[in-house]
Amino acid sequence: MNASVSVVPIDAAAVQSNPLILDYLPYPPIEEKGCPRRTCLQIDLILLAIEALEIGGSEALLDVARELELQDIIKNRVNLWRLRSTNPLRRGHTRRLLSIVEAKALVVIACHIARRLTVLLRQLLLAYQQMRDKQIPLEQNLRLANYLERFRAHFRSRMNPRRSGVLAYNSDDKLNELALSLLGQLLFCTGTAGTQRLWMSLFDGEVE
Amino acid sequence: MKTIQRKYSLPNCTLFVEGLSEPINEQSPSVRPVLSILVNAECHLAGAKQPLTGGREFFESLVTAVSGYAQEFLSKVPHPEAHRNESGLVQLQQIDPNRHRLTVYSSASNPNSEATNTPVTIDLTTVQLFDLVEAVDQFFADSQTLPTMSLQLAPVSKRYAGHTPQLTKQAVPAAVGVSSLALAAIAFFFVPIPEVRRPEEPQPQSRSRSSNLAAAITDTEQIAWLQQKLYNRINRVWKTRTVNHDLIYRVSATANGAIVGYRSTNAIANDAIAQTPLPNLLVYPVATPETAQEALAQFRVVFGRDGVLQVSPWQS
Repeated sequence: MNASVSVVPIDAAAVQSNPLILDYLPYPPIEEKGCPRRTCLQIDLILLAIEALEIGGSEALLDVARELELQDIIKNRVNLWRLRSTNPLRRGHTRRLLSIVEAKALVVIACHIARRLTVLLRQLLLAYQQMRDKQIPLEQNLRLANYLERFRAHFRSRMNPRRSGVLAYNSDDKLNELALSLLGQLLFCTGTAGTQRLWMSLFDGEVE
Repeated sequence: MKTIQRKYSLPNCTLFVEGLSEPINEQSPSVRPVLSILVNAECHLAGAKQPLTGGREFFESLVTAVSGYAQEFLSKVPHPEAHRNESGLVQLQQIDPNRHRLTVYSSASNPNSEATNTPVTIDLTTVQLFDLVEAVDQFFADSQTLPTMSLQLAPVSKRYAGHTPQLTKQAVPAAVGVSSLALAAIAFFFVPIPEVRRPEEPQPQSRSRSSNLAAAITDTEQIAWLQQKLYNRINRVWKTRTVNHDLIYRVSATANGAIVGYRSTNAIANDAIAQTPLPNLLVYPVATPETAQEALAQFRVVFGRDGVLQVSPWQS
């Protein structure tokens, strides 16, 4: 094992390769080089929801990156963390831009995992619907309660509480609402055109 | 001609598409013939008393609204295709974080529809909505059923995002640090949207070869929407992006974005037409008295030497 640290800046290398799997996602008609803020935020939240659904979720992200041969773009844990820190709400938010290719890779990975979780997603959303209709507190459903609790914990430990965007989620209820809405979005990622749909939606309201 | 039925089945939604196939092609006796003319469509939804049925107008409206609403659901940015415009028979709106209302208006041109004209409304849960979206996407992905209809996705433009009165309502749940969006919304709210209406000069209809002149689309908003739609359609299928010269065409599109005609602007463009996807995208309008009058918009489409596609409104 080679312990030396590569000094090549991560950004420079990431742009070089463009695997075929990303080609079927079109380039959005935006002029900036990097992704808009909302795109970065949304991608990170989708990944956060996946981590809350799947034990070892962040490790799974790297596994899938290798499986889909995207390891040139998503190289390692640190690299992944840096890409996700483009989310403006994060504690470690950097001004680094998320390139279109990097965003595509994250979206393809998220949708790939979502597809594996199809059954779970449907079950959780169905449970949510039933609890809501009968006006039973969501905590009564063990699986749903687990997901919500993990999501809240992830969100609180990673987002910067001083950001106004984070302040909007200062209660359990508001975070639950966010977690449930992400659950629905993840379900839509599992479909035939799920990846394209999620990808395009990330630029809604951002183009001329 | 023979009748074929296609079925797209999901747990909460089954979509039937019934239509006619083209005369069987001798060269490629494909196992699964192409359904090219839609006769009837049926959408069976769990929880609905009876299936939604209709012809082409209904079906196009259904798939467009469903597809648009799926995007709205993902981004929380209002999508113009999800909401009823003049021609749309179907619209969808969120009534609750987990409930979505599908409204189907009866077609004015269909005398068989009930005289009462009351729209049918069906409330769908998120899972049911997803099954409907998935049935529609499976139809779009099926190249042997109405191949002219395929999934067209494009991000909603800032203009639309700022326009809709629902925005304030939408922004609250979306607020997710979508604070940027919220800010944009506020900005849009105060800044009056400038009317960019071009002087309404007579369109260059005289150059058209056809004797029955089609009306021109003059609504700037509609033109902008069409421009985007056209760009996406052509951009998606323009694979060989190597052309030696800028190829410039004048393209006519109907109000729903179908390309019904194109004309090269010079000999180079004329010779190189096969290098562009335009011939494949051309839709031959059915020659009936109604369609002859369909309003058209003209666009300048440039296949750039640098591999970049440009679509802009045609200015004579």
